[in-house]
Parts: sequence; structure tokens; C-alpha cells
Amino acid sequence: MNLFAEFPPALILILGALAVPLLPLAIRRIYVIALPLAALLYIIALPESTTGWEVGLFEFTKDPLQFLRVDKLSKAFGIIFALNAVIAFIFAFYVKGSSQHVAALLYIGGALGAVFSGDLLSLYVFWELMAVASTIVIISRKTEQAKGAAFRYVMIHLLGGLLLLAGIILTIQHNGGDIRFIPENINLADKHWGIYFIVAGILVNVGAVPLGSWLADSYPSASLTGGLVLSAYTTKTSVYALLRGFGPTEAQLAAGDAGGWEPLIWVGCIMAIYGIIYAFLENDMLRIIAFAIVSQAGFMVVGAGVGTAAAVSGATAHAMVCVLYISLLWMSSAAVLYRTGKSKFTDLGGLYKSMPLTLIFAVIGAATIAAAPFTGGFVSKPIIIAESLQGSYFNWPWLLLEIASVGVVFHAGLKLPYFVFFGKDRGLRPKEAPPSMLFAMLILAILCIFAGVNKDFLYSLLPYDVSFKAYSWAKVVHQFQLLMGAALGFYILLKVLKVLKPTPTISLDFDWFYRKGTPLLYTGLDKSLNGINAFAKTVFVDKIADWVCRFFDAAPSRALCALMFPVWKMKGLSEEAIEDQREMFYRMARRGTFAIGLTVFLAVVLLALLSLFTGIAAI
Amino acid sequence: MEPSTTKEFDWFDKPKVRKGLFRTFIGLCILSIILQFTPPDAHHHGHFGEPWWVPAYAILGFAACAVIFLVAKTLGFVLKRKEDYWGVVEDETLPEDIDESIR
Repeated sequence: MNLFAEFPPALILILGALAVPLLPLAIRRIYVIALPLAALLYIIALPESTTGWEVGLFEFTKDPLQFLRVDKLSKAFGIIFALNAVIAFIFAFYVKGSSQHVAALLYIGGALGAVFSGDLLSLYVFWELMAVASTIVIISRKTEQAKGAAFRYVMIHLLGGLLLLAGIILTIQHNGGDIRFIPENINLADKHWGIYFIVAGILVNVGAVPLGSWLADSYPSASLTGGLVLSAYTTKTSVYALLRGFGPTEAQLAAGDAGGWEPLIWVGCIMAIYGIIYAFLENDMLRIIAFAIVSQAGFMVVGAGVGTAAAVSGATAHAMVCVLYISLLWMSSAAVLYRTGKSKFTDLGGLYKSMPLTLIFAVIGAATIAAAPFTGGFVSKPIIIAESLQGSYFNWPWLLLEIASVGVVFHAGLKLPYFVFFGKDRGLRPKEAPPSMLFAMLILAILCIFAGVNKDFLYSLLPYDVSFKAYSWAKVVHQFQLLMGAALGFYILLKVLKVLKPTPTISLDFDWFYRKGTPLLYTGLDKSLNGINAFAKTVFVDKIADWVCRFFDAAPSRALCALMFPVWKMKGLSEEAIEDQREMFYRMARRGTFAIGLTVFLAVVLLALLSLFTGIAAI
Repeated sequence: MEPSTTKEFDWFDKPKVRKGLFRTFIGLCILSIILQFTPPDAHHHGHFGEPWWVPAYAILGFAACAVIFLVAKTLGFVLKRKEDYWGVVEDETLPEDIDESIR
């Protein structure tokens, strides 16, 4: 059993993916659901504090590579990743092709590999596997928009990957070859560059401002199931990496101290606010969910920044629940897109009449993201918000997170369902979503409520014990008030002031700088470097070389003419005759055909000149 | 889309239902304020230093909406562009590999 117990769960998906193209469609559909299900059951069965698959590959490292490290933190992420994969592939039952599935399985395998790897080097390997596989998932939409988005996506992720790699190498070198990925090795007190590079690399993937605009650019451009799969893993794997790196160390835990890093709190707050502001301006339902992902990931980054045991547990709980409700919201929107071929509020509306079940699931997802009582969001998000206070009664991160909570109620909780399923009836009467999609949404909806009602079960999966009393009377009342206050605000803006009308617009994001900047850079380099090239050609090739050629071409005949001029004069030739002679000389010089006598004469003159000069030099 | 032969489900479009929903909504708003006066919170300490009877979270929810609206609307003037800003807007083409028989 030992060998089996040491097998990294990522390999189930990665090796299993290779068989997908070989299978006939009917078997493949079952197989891609069974594969993550097997991984899920295996992860649940994995005993904690197991390590395995240790490979001593490099001589410069003190410890071997560790492809399997099981503790509560990695197990929590592993369970939700595998569970979400099962449900996503149920949703994707309609997909006929196999290339998407292979890429998706490799991608999810990469995510599982990253959360279960015990050292920084194997983390990096799986990190890059995710980047490559997810790019293929995006391209599989096969539109020009998808190709462009995939290109930008892979460029920014290669940048993030390189930053991470540089950070890992510097950190390993700083730690004397210790490659283990533990908070002790991400020691901020040392203030060396490796840590900053690692954080920058992770923040690219978590969608932090200003490097996070790839998220809203690429996920809605991917295929329906592609976007669904992507929405769960890249940001959450990065959250895992932050929680792992900035959580409390063993010593801090024993002393009851916190890990964390204050700048991350602010990064998280900015993400949370950025997400809701952009979601407010957005007209595309899938892009709203993408901004909601950024906003919610912001909460988890705050959790990592606070770094107390409770904050790390809270961020883990929120990551788990977030995977569920974002998937649910994405599925309901993807089902609408699948049936109507439209994803913009300006094209959608009144769909409750023909897609009522999808509406119900969307509302459950919306309630969960809004952290309504008895949903998963209510028992996970408040832990982070409470921990952000760090013992005081008021601070700015706390207020910003509360505002972001209201914002998420506003756009994902109210605006999204309203403009898709109610709002202006555009006369669309599509069929209800297919059974496989409805079934997948049903499972997620049940899980969203299950997590909220059975909070102790959720808390039992978390890395550290949680004493948070989510269902105290005051908390329920406060959240109820917050939701009603936000709903009233929405109602007044929508119906009384009538200022929420969706507009067929897009909003400029930070990607403007590289989407506009790189063509500008290209043009600049084109103009400057090619300009230098052109200048060099004109001056050196066309002008100077030409002049030198003409000079040496004409020089002998000119010298001859100068020499012969006195001779012609002595012979008493007329001006015209001299000119004729000159012309003849030029012709002969160009052709290199001088009469022998003339050549001999010139040679004698030259020798005479030479002896004259040497004579002068001797004197 | 083919017109459906059975009568359409349009419950939310009925004026009576809309009125009822609106009343329920206002009722819930008022209820959320009233619940502030139920006293199970023995150690109340307002985050803003407000006395116990102020429904701070209701105000926060409403005020945050207003703030988000104002900030986003203002930024919208600067950031909003036409849909074809980044090039031609494509149709929402779906991947070819969709099984039509399931639709």
C-alpha cells in the first residue's frame, strides 16, 4: 500500500489525459468524468502528513524533490480542485472534440501537482504546465478574439513564470540549497530579492492589479467549458501558494503569532475594489464573473497578508466556496450563451420565461457570492473580513472589504441575474439548458448550500481549527441589513434614477498599456533601428561606397590626363583635340586597355617620381 | 427560435406579482432595520463608534452602493470605449465541437 499511498494525484489526470484521444466518444464522455472522480476519492483517502515521490534529481539541493506532500492545506485545495473537475466535466458532456479535454485535464493535473508539491522546484514545473495547458484551453474557442487573448495570456504568464523561477532560484541559493516550500523558507525578515520575485510571479497568476487584466481578457474568450475550467484553478493555485508561503511558521504557530505580509493586505484590497468597479462598467456577463473572480481572490490575498492561523483557514474556506459559486455562476451564464449565442446584457433579457431552472441555479450562485445566510459564502468570507480587523474595531482594509462585499452583491448578486433573466425582454425564447448542464448546476447549488448549512464540515477541512461563530444573531442581522441596503441601492439606481442601463461598450484596463504599448514599441523599434539601417545604407552603401568606387575608377585616367596635359600642350594640340584625348583616356581607363607604349611611358614616369621622392627622403 | 405552443411562463411580468414582490422587498428592508433592536448582542461595539441602535450595516450597504456608483460612473467617462475599440467585434461563435443532438 505504501507505493500507492505515495502516488501524486496529479499523475492520475496527467497520465489519464493521454488516453483521451484514443477513446470513442461515448466512452470518452464517461472517462473524463471518472478520471477526476478517481483523483477526488484518492485525495480524500490520502492520509495527512504523507510525503512521497521524493526524487534526488539535483546535486545543488539539500533535499530531494518532493512531488507529494499531504497536509490539511494541500488536501483542502486538492479536494475542491478534483471535485470541481468532476462537475465541470459533467457540464461539458456536450463537447464532442477531445483536444479541449486533454488540455483541461493536463491543466487541472498541473493545479493538483502544484498544491501537492512539497518543494519550490516541482511547484514551478506544475506551474508552467498549467500555463501551457491553459493557453491551449483558451485557443480551443477558435475565434480571432480567442487567439489574440491566448497570445496575451501566454506572454503575461511566461513573464510571471520567469519571475517565479528567478525568485525560486535566488531563494534556494539564499537558503543554502533548501528547496522545501514552507513558510520558514519564504522568510521576509531576510529581505532578499528572491522573495519579491516569487511574490511578483504569484501575483501575476492571482490576477493582482495591474498585472491581472489577462483574466477578464482571456477567460470569457475561451470556449464555454474552457472558461469554466480556467475560472477555478489558476487564481486558486496562486492563493494556495500565497497561503503556503505567508502562513504562520511552526514557531509562530506555537507562539500564537501571525505570519503574513502587510503589502499583500493592500494588494488584496485593491483587487477586491478593482473587480467591483470594473464589473459595474461591464456589459458582458462572462466578463462580470471574471471581475468577480478577481474581487474574490482579493479577499483571499488579504487572508494571506494577515497571515494568522484563522485568516489562512478563512482564506482556504473562501477559496473552496469560491470555486463552487464561481463555477455555478459561470455554468448558468455559459448555458445562456450556449442556448442564445449571446453574452451581452444589451442583447439579453427576459430569459426567465424559457430558462427558469437556469435562473434558479444562477440565483443560488448569486446568493452564495453575496454571502447570504445559509450559503457557503456566509460562513467563509466573514472570517477573512473579521481577521482583516487584526484585533481593532476599525481599519481601512476592513472597510474596503465590506465595500467590496456590497459591490459583489450589487453586480454578481443582482445585476447579472437581473439583466440576463429579467430586464428588457428581447424576445429570446431559447430552450432550457441541456440536462447535463442542469445536473452539474444542481450539484453545485446543493454544495453551495451544504457548505453554508454544514459549516462545521467545511471547517473540519481547513488547515487550522476555526472558532469563528458564523451564525451568531448579530452576524446574521448585520449581513441581512447589508444585503437589503445593497438591494435598496440597486433598486433606486435601476428603477428610480434609471442609471443602470447597460451600454454596448468595453472599458479600458491595464492591458491597454501593453496592447497599445507593444505596437508602439514595435513601431518605435521599427522606426529607430530600421531608420539607422536605412541611414547607414544611404550613407555608407549608396553614397560613400559609390564615391570610393567612382574615385578609384576615375583616378588612373585623371592622373594620366594630369600627366599628359603638359605633353599635349607641348605638342600644340587644340582645346578640342585635348578634350578628345581626355575622353579617349577615360574610356581606356574604364576598360583597362592602355596601349603598351603608353603603359611603359607611365611606368617610367612613376619610377622617376619614386626615385625622386626617395632621393628627397634620403636628403 | 420557434414560438412555443403552450402558454408562456410569465409570472414575473404580471402586475399583481410585481406589486407583491415590491411590497415584500420593502417589508424585508424595514424588517432588517427592526432586527437591529433585538438585543441578543450583549457586547455591542460599533465599528464606527456608533451607538447600538444605529443600523450601521444597512447604512453601509446603501452608502457603499452609492459610492461604488459614483466612482464607477466617473471612471466610466474616462475608461468606456466603443465595443470595436480593439478591432472588429466577432459573433459569439461557439466551438465547432458541440453535439447538436444534445441541444
